[in-house]
Amino acid sequence: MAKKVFFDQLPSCYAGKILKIDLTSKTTSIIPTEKYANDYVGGRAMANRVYWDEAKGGVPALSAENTLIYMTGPLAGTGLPYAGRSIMTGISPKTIPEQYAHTCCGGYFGAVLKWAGYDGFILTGKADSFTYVVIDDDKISFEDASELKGMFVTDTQEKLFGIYGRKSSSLVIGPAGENQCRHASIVTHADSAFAMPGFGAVWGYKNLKAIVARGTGTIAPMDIEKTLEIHAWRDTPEKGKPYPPEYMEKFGSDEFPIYANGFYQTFNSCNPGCNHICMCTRNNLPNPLNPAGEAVSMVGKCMDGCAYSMRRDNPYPLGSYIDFPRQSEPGKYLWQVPILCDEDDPLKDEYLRCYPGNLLHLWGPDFEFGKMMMWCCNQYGLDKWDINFWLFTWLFQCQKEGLFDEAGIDFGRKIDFSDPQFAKYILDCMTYRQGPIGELLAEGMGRMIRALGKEKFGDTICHGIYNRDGEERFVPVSWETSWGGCSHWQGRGWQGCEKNVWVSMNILHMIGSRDEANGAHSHDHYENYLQYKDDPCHHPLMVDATVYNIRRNEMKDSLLLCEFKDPDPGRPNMELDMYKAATGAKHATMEDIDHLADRGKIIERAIFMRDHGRTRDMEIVQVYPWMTFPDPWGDTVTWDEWNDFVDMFYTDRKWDLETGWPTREAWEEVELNDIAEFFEKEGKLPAENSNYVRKPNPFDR
Amino acid sequence: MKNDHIVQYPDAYSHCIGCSSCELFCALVHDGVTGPCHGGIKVELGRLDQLKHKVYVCEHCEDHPCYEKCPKKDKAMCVDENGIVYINEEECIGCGLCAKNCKFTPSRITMDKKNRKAHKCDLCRTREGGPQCIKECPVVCLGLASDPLPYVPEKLGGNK
Repeated sequence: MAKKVFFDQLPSCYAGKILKIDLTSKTTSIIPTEKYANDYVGGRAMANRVYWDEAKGGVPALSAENTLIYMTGPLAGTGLPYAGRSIMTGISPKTIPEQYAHTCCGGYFGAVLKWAGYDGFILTGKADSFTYVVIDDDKISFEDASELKGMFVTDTQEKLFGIYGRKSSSLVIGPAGENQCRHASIVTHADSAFAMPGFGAVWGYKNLKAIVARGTGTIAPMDIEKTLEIHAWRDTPEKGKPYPPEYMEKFGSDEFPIYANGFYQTFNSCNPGCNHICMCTRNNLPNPLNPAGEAVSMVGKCMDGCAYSMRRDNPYPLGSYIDFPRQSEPGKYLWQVPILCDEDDPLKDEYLRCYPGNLLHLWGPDFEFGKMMMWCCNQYGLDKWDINFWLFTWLFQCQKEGLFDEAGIDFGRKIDFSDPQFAKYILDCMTYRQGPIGELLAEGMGRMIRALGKEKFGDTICHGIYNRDGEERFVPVSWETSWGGCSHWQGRGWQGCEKNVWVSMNILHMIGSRDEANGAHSHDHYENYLQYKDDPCHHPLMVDATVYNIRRNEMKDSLLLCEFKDPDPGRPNMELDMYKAATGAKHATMEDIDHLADRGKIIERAIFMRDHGRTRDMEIVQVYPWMTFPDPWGDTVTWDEWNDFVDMFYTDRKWDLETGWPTREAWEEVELNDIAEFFEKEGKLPAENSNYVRKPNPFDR
Repeated sequence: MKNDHIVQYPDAYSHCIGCSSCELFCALVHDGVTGPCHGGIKVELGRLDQLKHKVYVCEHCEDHPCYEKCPKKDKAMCVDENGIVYINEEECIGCGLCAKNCKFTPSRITMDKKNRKAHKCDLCRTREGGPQCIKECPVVCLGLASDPLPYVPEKLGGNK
């Protein structure tokens, strides 16, 4: 089938060029965006296709050959909400095994890069000395970065502002990236970072400290009136009340400390033109690394609250995941705004039903401890998620179970969760590869735990976590779930949620390569929820919900929408409306949007298959063990239950049940006949209805 | 009010978060594009670990040296009956004298060197609903000098 043509000429929302940067030869070349724009939207879908076409698979993450793709979406710089977001893909040094992964980021760099004339860049090679790259409209230069070596993130950004002006924008690594720590991030604006796959380490390996962009060009949405309308619709409901203190008291965790010592909170927006309120920015804080210096601000989204306190789990409000028939406010706000409901709504009790979260009894509330943890992540360039939810929870739980004492492991400093300097010490060890265990820490949590012995330091059960009925809920000391990543909305340990949510989320994690709970989470309509809630693994509507969430995730990452706002039941056609406003694709439909999402997603699978040998056997075991531990209500899955659901999901996607490889029909359905031909030659184009015999549970002993 | 202009509210009221919504939408509604060489309002980011970003915009000053120095005064650079100093871009030749003679630093006039045009705030004088930048600011840190603060937190005494 021919691909649908959305526009004859490249719309003005695209800059028109993708820049290819070879750090080895210090040369650049151009690929026209037109080659990809009609078929791949932008962002993740376009990055996947560019990677498929341009990258050499099967190379180590820390190698000159590892090709990183940076891509904006059609919204960046247009003024449409969230515009400015961007994505980076490549081989992750953090995942186990190292494999293709993606990461999204807010900030300004995407828009500025487009004003310089580029929709994205492809980064290959390795510089022979410490370098930063300057993209100044058509002029690209490779500059000596030796003066920036060892600098913290903000100091690096400030130095670059000083050279290139405050209308420039940069992506930089901190010391963690320079030292090739596998949790290292690449940071742009305050707290906006490409973090989870550890691409900061790849930049460090490539001797790349920063990329600076500065431009004098223009970008324009094709439909300005529609852009204004969408922007006005997305306007913050709290506008006009800049920082009412009661806001956090109502909608933050009840553990959220109200820090009375002179700081106050304001809303934050991380993209040019975005009208979205993020949780809060905390202003006028003493700089944790330099208390005598100028006060600083920190963006507090979901993570910093947990850094301050891990005494209890996140609440699970049903109304944040399920769209109710009379819902007037979008449900998926993740506590950004109140869940509202009409007083006379017959479903009011259900809508407002909220499980307050298991009692974890880890550290806090301790604002100073959490602030130090988060601030070190900001300035060293470390992934906050894995540091907070994996490293520190692991340290706490191993200590609690006496594992370090038993094994005689000495960190060189007493483990003390009441001492902010302990948080700094551990992150110094990880960042600078120092102290008795620094080298291991820098290799990342998954690799460190395997080196220490996974059975003991990964799988030992931690005691003392209770649900709200006082029943103990056992999980391992390491919250690792899939592909060397840490649990995220997977039902136990952290973020207890109902079975339908974690079953759906676990499919996303399983078929991905990293934490996929970075956008849509799990979302569905109440009437569907009622159908499958008692037995989600055997209901086709649960498959539909999972596919829906995959599509929303893909489109969030391709248009590049907000991690906190999409999807939005208040405007089910939001993605379509934005796509049309940006590109002028008048004839596009929601079916087209889903189709484009499917096309982008399946190329990721093609990359996994081509470069990493992905099969069903590899992925089905990734998330399964985690689901055998009871969620807050005691729910688990059995091996057969999980396989039943995977069978239904694969069948829906037209993937072979035995191998997990898409059939020819699946490729051709999204007009990727060339990829079907490729896999036919590779012997990876399974015939339909292959004889599949379910494998026994490998975890049965 | 004569010589009314856009103001950035004090920190005690609201913080500019540096999102550039004001810049983007100013450029979009005036020029139909976004970009650093367009629009009449500019955000200068401070250190990215602080919220001390500054918004620069024309104050429509009474002596308006930009107007006085314009070689096409009253054709390119004009002043209306409300004291709003504005540019008629069709007539502008992009000589840059207005920008050079602005008494503020940085100059409140944006030069588009490629297209040889100057851009500055005109308070959206022809747009219904007033200045777009105020409308689009997500944190209400912009307003008209003549307007009272729209919402005053308790710590500033609250709305009387």
